[in-house]
Amino acid sequence: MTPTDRDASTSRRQLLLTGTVGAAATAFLAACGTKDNSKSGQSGVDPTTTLVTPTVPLGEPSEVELATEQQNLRTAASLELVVAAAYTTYGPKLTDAELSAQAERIAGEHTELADTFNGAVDGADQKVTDPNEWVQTNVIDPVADQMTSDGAILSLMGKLESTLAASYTQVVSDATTTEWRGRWAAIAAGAARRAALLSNGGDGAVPTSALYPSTDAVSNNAKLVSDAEAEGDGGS
Amino acid sequence: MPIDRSTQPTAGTTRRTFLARTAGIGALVTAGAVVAPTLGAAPWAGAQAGDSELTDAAFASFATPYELAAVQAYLLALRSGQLDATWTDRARQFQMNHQATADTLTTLLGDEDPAPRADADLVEQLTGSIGGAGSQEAVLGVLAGLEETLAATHLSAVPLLRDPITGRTVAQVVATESQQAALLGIDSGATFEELTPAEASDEGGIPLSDAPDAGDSTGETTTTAAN
Repeated sequence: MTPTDRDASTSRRQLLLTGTVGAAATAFLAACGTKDNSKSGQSGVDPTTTLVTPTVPLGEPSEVELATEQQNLRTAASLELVVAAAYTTYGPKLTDAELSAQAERIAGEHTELADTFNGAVDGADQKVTDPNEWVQTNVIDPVADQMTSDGAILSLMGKLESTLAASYTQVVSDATTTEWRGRWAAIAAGAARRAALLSNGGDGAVPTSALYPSTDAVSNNAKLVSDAEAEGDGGS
Repeated sequence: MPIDRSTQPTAGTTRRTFLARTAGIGALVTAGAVVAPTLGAAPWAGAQAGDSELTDAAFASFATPYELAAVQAYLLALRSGQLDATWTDRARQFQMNHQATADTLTTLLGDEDPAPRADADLVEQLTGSIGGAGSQEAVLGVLAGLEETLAATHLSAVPLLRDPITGRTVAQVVATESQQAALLGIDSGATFEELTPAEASDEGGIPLSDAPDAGDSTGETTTTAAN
């Protein structure tokens, strides 16, 4: 292998968009407006350390952008809760005691991540306490009667983790602060790691693309809307 | 300047522990240390808000050589004679993934930027580490450390990239390289728990302060306006 030819015919835009193919159809929350990052700000960095994430806004977000981010956070909280519930339901059914213990640990971590997302949701009445109903009904319940082996259970867990990873990577660009841009990516990568090891009945799934595919992102139908939007004119 | 670490993932210790205990990875974990002492002041240290963001071209110039070094690492691993059929196939796939990432990053370079080459220091380290690995597990351990380092490096860039679309793309790279790290790690002796923190961490990444001055990245454009 040699360094890439700079004159590669594929344009930058094409390559970037390659990573987002299907995002419009499958990403659970698409940005509804354009971003103005011309005044983006962040603190300087310590030259001797790996950069860390300052908590500063990426320019002045529009109301639409803020609303999108809130939807992302609320939806993510509901996804974490439904995945935690799946681990709690099926983890004890694993015959491998070590795997069962790991499932219990991961269930707790997903619950904590739900708290993390809820912590960034504005308004106490907007915090999400219920697992995502769409995922429960359309993804988990249909295979409930198949959860009779460790392999089947691990595959479901891997699928759910990949859903989280794909969904979260797709909303990185929606974040209105540097903190959350990094946080989405970090949480997505954690889910991707679990997906890699749990998928295919625990045999693992080898990534066949340099960019984590969006195809596993949760359906738009799983998106949560705020109470105000639900009562309003149909949302943005 | 103050840096708020309170929002950072807390999984670094686990990953560091894994890295430290995996044979052959030590040199790679300190890849950042190889780079860091050669640095001058961070190009955006003290910069005003808005001036301190990482341009696509600056990041690509910084990161592409490491991705190309990873391509070389997998070539070394494939030639080591240590990999079984399963890992030979996987190594080829991972190598292709790194080349594809390098290809993507290369398109972000400015017109005046030189063609990227594999980072010589990292390749030298990898050559020694992989060459000295006496088993498949040891080779995979070296590669796991490399993937952890690269994933952490990319993750540290995501919040800083000026273009949010590029940020998303790099996040996709982080997820893939994190998967590669996990798969390599589990077959090189790390435990499932060590490899599956709640969140990934940017700890152990190569310091981004080695990236070229964003201000030198003339010709930089973003995709934001078109999205």
